[in-house]
Amino acid sequence: MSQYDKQLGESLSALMDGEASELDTRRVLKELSAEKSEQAEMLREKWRRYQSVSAVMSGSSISNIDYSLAIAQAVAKEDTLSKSTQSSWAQSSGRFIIAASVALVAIFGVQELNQPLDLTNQPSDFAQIDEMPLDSMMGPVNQFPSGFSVPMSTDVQAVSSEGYSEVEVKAYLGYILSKHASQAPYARMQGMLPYARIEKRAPALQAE
Amino acid sequence: MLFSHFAVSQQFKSADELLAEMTNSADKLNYSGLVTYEKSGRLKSLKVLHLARDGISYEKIVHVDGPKGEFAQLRHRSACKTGNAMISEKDLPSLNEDSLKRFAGSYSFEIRGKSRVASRIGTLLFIKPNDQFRLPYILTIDQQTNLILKSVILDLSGKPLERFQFVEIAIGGNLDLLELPTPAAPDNRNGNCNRGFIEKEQRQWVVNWMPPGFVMTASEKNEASDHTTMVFSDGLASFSVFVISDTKGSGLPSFTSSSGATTVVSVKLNLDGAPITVSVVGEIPQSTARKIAQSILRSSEITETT
Repeated sequence: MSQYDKQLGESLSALMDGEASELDTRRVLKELSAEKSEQAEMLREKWRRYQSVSAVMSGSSISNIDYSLAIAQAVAKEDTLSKSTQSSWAQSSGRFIIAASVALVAIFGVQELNQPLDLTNQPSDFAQIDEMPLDSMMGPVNQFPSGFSVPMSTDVQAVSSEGYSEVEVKAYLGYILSKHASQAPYARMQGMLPYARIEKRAPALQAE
Repeated sequence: MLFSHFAVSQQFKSADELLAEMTNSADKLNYSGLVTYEKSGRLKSLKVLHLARDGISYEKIVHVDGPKGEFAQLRHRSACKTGNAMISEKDLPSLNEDSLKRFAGSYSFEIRGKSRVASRIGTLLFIKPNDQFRLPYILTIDQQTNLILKSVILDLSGKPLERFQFVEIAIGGNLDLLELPTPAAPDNRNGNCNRGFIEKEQRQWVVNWMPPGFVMTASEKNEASDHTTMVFSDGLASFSVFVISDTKGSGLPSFTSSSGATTVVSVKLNLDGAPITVSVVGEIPQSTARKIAQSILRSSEITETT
């Protein structure tokens, strides 16, 4: 096994553990995006194995669907978007969400699709919770409730298989759900109830 | 004395009156308590605090289980006097007579006796939609104060989708004496209080179909991302519509998703060769969300703006 293969293996492992650096993430995604390379095949195989092991350990069902290629393709597309001078949601609010959560979602995205909703709140899902002074979250009337977002574990029921990435869909879904939940309270009749739907802090969203 | 007045009068109230008071209570009362929120077999607990003084309200929510979370905000109702920030007073859908009429026309109301929630006696109110386009609610409204103590949203077959319930609550009393945290300065960071509504002539998209009774309560356009958001409410239920021009290939597939009572339908449409992604998010049936999403038109295609 070459030095590079070894590094790749380590990067993948770090990614699975949610400890990947940006370099690790990029390395893995770059390799995955090369459709026919040996490394890509090796990585995908490893990825599947890791997923199976972790699925068995968490008592959930095992997915045989491989999203890694779709993710890699979408990330490649994301790069192009970033370089373009044109804008899209992915370039404004979406991009940093994706950037900040790519590792996390790449893992959860793959794992969660076949899991029942109540099994998706794994402790590692909460690993990125940070502390934030209350003051900085107090805001004027039209402020997005900063720091809260609907969890990535929301059950996506039917994602079409056109090669889109879980990453993008989850990030976008999180964005629109939290945006909706932050505006719904102002239908007032229900008082603070809609706030209860806003689930957890997502530091990535604060970059907006 | 005041309380017995509430108790007696609640029995004879029309739905309009009861709902108006419910809204008023949610807005004006000082209360704090513990709340459980349950959906899809998951239960979470939150501490809530609501204080209101002279047009300013303070709301705080602390998650006491699961991921740590805390959310607090001061709302200045008069922060933008001339404008209509996302939620300025005049845009609130449930506060004026018109919206209550609309609301009362969209749902039927049935008082189903008494229920005890958080050691208080409440009136059980069943709110049933008059069509298949929205969801039924069962509310428990505090007999003394008209505050919602419990809210269950059902699907069209009557199965609960989510439940919100106080398990402990204190209303008024010492809370009335608490001082609000120092108000933050009104939001003038952008020097723009007008971003709550897009001017009519600048509206690029029109929702060509929605269930009767819904009105737009906010809209916003992100020029940089060409990303439009519109929010609609019938006084009780609300939904948001997100439209993205897809000419740059935002790469989003069509998908549906649901979480508790909240449903998401995202579709790709092709309007005169220009692809767009339309997402509808709201506490409405999925079929309604889909129909709304598919009704989006370019405003230039409509001769008379609805």
